[in-house]
Amino acid sequence: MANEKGWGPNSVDKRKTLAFGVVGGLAGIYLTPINPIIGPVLAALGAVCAIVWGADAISRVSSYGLGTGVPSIGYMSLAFSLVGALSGVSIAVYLGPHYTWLGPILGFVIAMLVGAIVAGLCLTVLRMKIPILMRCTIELAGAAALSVLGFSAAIAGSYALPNLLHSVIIPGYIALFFILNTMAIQHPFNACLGPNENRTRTLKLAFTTAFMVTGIVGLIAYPFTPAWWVIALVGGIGWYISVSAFIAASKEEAAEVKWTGWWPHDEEEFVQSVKEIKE
Amino acid sequence: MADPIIAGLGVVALMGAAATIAGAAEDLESDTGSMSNPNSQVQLAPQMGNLHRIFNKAVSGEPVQMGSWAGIAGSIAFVLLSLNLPAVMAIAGGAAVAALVHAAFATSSHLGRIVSVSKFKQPLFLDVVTEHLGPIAGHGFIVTFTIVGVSYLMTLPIQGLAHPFPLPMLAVLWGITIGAIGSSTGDIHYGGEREYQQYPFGGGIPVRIHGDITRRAELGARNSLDAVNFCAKYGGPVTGFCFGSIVFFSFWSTVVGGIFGSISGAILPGNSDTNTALAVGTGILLIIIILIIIINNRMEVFARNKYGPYLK
Repeated sequence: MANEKGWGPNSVDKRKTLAFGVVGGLAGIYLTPINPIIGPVLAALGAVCAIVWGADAISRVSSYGLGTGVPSIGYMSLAFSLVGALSGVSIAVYLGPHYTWLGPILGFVIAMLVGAIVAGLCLTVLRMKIPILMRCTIELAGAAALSVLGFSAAIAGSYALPNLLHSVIIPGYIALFFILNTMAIQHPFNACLGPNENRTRTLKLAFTTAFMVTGIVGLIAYPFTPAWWVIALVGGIGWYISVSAFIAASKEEAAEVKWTGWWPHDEEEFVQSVKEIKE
Repeated sequence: MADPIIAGLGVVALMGAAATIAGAAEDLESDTGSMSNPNSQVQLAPQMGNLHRIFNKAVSGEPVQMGSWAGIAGSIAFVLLSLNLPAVMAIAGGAAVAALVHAAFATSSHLGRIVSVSKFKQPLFLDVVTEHLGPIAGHGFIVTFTIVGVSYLMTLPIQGLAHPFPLPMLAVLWGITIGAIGSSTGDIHYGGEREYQQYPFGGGIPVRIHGDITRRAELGARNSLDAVNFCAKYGGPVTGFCFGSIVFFSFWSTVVGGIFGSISGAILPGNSDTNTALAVGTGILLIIIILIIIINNRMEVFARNKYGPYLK
């Protein structure tokens, strides 16, 4: 429900975030090989699109009162989409050198299939009564897979399995992506949930977390790609713009912004009691 | 050259000490932001009409949070180590970057949660943010520095250690572990005792008092730094002791198992040193676990007998 100012949990069209994530994520990953500097930056930006989509999906499913389950469903989706994404790029290797390009899309599809199976188990075996659980878990799985593949391609400079093995899996960065992408996807809604949640503000925070991860990815990509400083710079600039927008939105939507003082009704009580003492 | 077993025991002692500091700092860091269990009550308070000046750091559960920060610190340290920087400087550099990210996440979660209860007239106090960010980032720095330190020591080529995993992966795994220990051991001292101080301790938290948290301090309004001051006396050290003993005993047993490994290799030619070392180490660990269970049971029975049965 949006209020008269257009603030509310439905202030963003879910079809727009879906299109933004899928198209942006896949385009970024597939454009990685075009240039050794611009390619990795585009891959990282693709992962940013995927994270924003994932943050919107998790907000929709968690609005059904998941509460402390927000980080948990983020954790779960990253776990099975990592399996899906890596199986996809591995299957592309088995298909032969001409089919490397199939890797990311296969990873994306397999992750969503595993997501559908997990959601099916939650609905039938665990009997969770969340009507949009199936759709949102599939969306989350797809978003998480694209975010991992995007950041991995940004570091490796390619989405082929041998490059990913050398630059992402053997150095152990894959474990960092598992936990850090969980954080980037679940944090926006987890931080903004409440009766006055406004999805526009939540997604501003999603851009903030996504660009912050991009900055970190730029720094840790130093040994593997010459584009590391461009990725870090893009992450830093994107973070500054989005965090400024988020802070401005928070100040606008807050009941009251004060540098210091008491909470409202006590202030009146306090002034009253001081008056009484003086009298 | 020192005896490898002695060198290994020395490193294990250092790891235990680092883990103890990490545990204490982790618990105090989570108390600064009223994370985990106490957090839901801080979130609920304005909805029950109890406005407050407490920091609401809803980043996520502690395991995910500490896994992320330790992972960032470990990865940056991995890059700096590849530049041949001294280990201490590399780890400190990683922990510094993680502290900055930590502060940014803490700020956004407080702003987000407070603004999302604006319906109940909860003001956004900016001094609450600036006052708490220092202790949050500082404690976080200590945790990530010591956790990445423990992970780095694990990868050193020493008998009983020399872990094959890369530094970023070990840092993430240990980060998740410290978060879980901090959440399960330390939180009761803030959540149960300090947050509901106006109610008698030991009565649990019945639903009717949910959200009615202690909002006033000895002087003025209570903030989260008061909670840290309280928890630093017992909750933090006890968490540190718990995590330190976990790290110390698990590595101590594998290093000591190494002694038996070399003996069995000498007696039975062809017998694998590593397998014997692991088997003996696991055996020692099992004995330690059984001893700890017995000690815990004795302690609880003693406490019940000493302080009498619970009143109805």
